[in-house]
Amino acid sequence: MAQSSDEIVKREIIDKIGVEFNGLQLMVFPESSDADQIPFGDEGGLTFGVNGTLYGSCDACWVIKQPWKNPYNNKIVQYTPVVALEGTDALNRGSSGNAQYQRFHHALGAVKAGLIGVYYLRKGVHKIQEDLYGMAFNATQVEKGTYLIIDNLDELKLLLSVIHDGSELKDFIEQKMKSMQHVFKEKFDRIYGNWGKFGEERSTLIYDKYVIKYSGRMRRNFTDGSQRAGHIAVGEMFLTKYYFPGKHVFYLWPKMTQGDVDYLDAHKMDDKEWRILRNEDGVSIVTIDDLENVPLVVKKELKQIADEPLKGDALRVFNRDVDIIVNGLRRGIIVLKSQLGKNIN
Amino acid sequence: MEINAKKFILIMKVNFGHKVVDTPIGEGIVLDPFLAFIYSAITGAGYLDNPLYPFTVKGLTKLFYNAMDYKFVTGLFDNTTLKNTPCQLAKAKEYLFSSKKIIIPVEFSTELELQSKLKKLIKASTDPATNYIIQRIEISKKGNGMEPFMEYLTCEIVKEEGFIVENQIPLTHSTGSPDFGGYRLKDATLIIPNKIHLLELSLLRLGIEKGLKKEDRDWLLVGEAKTSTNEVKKQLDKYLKTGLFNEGLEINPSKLKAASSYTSLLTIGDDYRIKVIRKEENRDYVDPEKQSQYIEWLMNYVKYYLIANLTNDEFIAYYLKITKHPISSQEDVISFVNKLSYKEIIDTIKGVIENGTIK
Repeated sequence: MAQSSDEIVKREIIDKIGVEFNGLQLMVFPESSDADQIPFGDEGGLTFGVNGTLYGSCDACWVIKQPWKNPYNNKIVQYTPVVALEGTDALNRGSSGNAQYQRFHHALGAVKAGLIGVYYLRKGVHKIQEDLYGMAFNATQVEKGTYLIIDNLDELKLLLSVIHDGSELKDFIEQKMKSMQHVFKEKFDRIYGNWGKFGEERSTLIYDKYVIKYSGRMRRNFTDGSQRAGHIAVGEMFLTKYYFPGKHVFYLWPKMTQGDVDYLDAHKMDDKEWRILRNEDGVSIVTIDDLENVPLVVKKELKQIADEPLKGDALRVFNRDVDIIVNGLRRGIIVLKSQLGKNIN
Repeated sequence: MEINAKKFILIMKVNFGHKVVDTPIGEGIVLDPFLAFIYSAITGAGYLDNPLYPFTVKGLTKLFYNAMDYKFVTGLFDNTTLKNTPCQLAKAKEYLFSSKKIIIPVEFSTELELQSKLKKLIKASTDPATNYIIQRIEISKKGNGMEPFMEYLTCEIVKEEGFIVENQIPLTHSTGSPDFGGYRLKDATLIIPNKIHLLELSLLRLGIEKGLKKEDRDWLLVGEAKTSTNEVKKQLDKYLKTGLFNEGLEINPSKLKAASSYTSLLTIGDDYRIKVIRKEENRDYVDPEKQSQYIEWLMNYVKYYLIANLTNDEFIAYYLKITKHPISSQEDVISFVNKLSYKEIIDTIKGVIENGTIK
């Protein structure tokens, strides 16, 4: 087998920055080990989170020797993590679209824990989706830490070199935030111009207090380990959440039922991605069963294609039925029941 | 047999006569730098350039995604550029071929424990740390994570029977990647070295010397290594059903009998000697037409590892000299290399070694 994306990134970090830099020690583990999968602590671990929810594992972390209380489990550990990095060679491996979102949540755990989280996408054939910059910028506004998107390690090295200098670090982050916001805004203005158009193009219904993001997820996306759709679902959820801070996100999966969600709750609560989807503040997973007044024929058709990948006839049926649901929601004919049982339209 | 550090040393000593030396963290085996390079490429064992993530060759020198196809993975080639050839790696990391290496088997339960041991070794050693190659022995895993080591042993034993060998071989996406492949190619015999690891063909320029052995018949081996489970029959059957291979080889240090009468077994006895128990039944799985196509592909596959003796500049010059136009795509590279004969490639390599340039 050729080198994996993670191996390439880790090797690049070691070669470029070394195992110690500017008073920071590097934590990194080989591909064959699962030491990165455990929560950050005295036994290793490169996975961060808060309040009992872990986000994906990172590839590298820079630490200083100083006690730290881990907000995931409130344990005091010997080392304080300062910068956590999730890296990928995806831009050289065909990831041109929303596949780039699928690792966004890995560094997000560090950001929620109050650290600097970095999502490093090695320069490659494809460009970084501007959405990622917007997601990271907005996440930084609402979460405790800072989220940076970078495409070269020189920038990372510069960050690490100013990490102990309060005012230089502040300047660096401010500049980076401006640059990320600019990249995102430039594309947004060019492609959408306003949030209404964004909503139409990006399967999102926007209301005063909430948004409904809809997509064709199916149960198998979360049970079949070979599928990345579960990861992408998490990425899309965070895109919606951070684009609409202050609004509740209803993540609508019309191909799925409450029974599917119950099944996944019973069988996949140890799965990081499912746990994130179910526990994220301000996000609710809703299914066809959470909608009132959906035409029976629509329900029947969606049930028939419940396990079908969205291509060919299944895609045609899905698009047609989702159009009916979306128009119904817009007109107030179809109603989304809240998780508390109250109508909220 | 579960292979731990002590057994590792005994296996290497008993089967290959390698010298055993003491190091600050235990015994190690001395290998010449070429063999050490192959060892790292097969097993993933890393040169101790740092205690956290030792540099390994594994995965760097791969070529194609699948057999019977010519789509490059990033490895030996990166698009149309010769990238991770041993010669290029040797320039970037001089320590790779500078001196003999010591392979140290290091048992550990946690990554932090291993890192601590390696830091101790670096501190205590008077020799450059990059003279050490660290063989991880994860005692928390069933089988201690030693399947790649078994792949290495298989390569070393089987190649002596006149095979070009490699591990983690390209096949197809649906069949997966067998742990071991051995290729006896009669039309390559006496032209290119056999009794060789495929990657060693890329080390000719660095001075490796390998013998030629006459073979009258094509024979293709496929193998699967296990150290933590005895379940291998299903996988081997899958590979054999492709119709490409003459023989299936189960690789397992703990078994005394093969999973089926129609596959062979490579195992390790209580005396630490590697044994190959040949299949009892001469069942013929080969589809002659499919195997013929596979052999044609293998004959070309091997050429790229020979070409990897050239630098990228030399390769470009060679291409230009023959085709009279620049490389513009991967297809150009594939078409060019596939048309070359082994003699042409070897003569070109000899030419650059003698003259320092393509003439």
